[in-house]
Amino acid sequence: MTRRIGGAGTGPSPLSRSARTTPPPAPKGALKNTAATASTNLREARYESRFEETDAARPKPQAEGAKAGAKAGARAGAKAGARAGAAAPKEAPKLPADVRKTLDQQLALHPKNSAACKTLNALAASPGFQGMKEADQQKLLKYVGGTNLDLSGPARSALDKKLGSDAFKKADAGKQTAQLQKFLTDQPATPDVVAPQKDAFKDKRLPYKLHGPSNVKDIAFQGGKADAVKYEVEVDGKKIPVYLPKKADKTSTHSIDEVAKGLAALPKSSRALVKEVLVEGKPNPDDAYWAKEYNDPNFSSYMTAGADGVINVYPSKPKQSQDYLDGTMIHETGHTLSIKQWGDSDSDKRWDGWKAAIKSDGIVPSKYAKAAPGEDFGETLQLYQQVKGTPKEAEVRAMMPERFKIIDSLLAEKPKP
Amino acid sequence: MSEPKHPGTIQFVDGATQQVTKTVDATEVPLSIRFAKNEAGELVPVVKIVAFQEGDRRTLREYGPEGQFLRSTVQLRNAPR
Repeated sequence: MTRRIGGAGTGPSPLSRSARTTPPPAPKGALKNTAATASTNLREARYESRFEETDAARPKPQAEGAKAGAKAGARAGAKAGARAGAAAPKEAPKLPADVRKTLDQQLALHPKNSAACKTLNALAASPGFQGMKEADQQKLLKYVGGTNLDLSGPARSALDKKLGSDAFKKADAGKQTAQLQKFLTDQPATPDVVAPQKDAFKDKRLPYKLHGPSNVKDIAFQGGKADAVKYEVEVDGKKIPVYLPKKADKTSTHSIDEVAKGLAALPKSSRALVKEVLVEGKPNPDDAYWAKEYNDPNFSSYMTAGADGVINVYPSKPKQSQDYLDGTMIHETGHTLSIKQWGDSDSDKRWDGWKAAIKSDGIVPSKYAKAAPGEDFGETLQLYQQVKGTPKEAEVRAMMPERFKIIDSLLAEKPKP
Repeated sequence: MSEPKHPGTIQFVDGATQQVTKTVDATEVPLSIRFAKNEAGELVPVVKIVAFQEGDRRTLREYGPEGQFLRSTVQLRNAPR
């Protein structure tokens, strides 16, 4: 059997059509487990709306370059602030022209968000901000001024709290500057990990075809040899074998369609490195060892990506969402991609470019990214893929320009064999 | 597939500090962790395991004797019951 599933550029897929029409009745048993249902709903709720709903009312971007443009931008930014009900400072803050322009652009992003404008105006008016280096002023404004709810929203709330604290208000200019520098370095409100964005790949993943299934014997799953069902997922001319257990618990094990969608969401360079996928029917038997080793029984393996190009996907309860599967596959195969490009160890000289880009950009995609340059690559690649081609790409790219540039060229290269 | 000879020990490293937290005799570790496949699909000994943890996610990255990357596993904290 060969099934063809539509993706970007092929018109609405049967899946997306069904999603827009009346949903099918819940499967038997789904309503029985109300605790599991509630838990899944909570998990999904985290992925809703990762950006402020401001697009429709957003003013046009400001003209670049000339002073006149900057002045016009200032007026537009101030107007945006005023529309949002935020008090603009009585005196224009003493800021370099380019910083002023960035401030106005960031204010203009929040025509309906008076709190955001108030925080940005208060930041700009503070002697501490005015004492920062221009490059750091730019970074801070781009960081706290965006509409994305993953990085900029929480950062702005944390900054607002800081600006309103006695420790900041009563400090002299120099100490305020030091506090703002520390805020920029620590990024205390950064999320633990890059959160999957709801339906981030729904319209971006490539079309795929499913070939099969066929019955195969003695497949070496991580949990032991077992008979399996084999499909081949064809994306962009490449066929990737996917093995699933014959008897799988559908509430915890990803389906062939979910795995195929995950493969179709990978950057071409990452997908080129995948040789096969094993959807495990049982938990990773090594989990017991890790639980003992790290003295914590509450972790379970979700995915393994090997240098040999094999991906193992383990059951999870509740089953992780499609968005989570997509994001994790991008992150984990990203390790293989970066290692192939720059070497096994991030002390390898070939990693210097990425490390310099981290330093230059300053903003991290997540706390997890701070663990190592390799983790930073995985997290940044996941964020890159989520925002690429969306209206939000520009503001996220502005926070991580050097790393986005490297990923641009890396993904534009012909995949390495 | 038969396993090659193991050099004898496996280092556990805290990814955040890059410090070796312990070194264990390879025989104390399950076979499935003691060896992993390289890029060519051949089993090679795992001699270093680097763990990164932040919040509800942990990554375990396993390396071979030449420092080559072998395998990366992401683990998630189980949902509360």
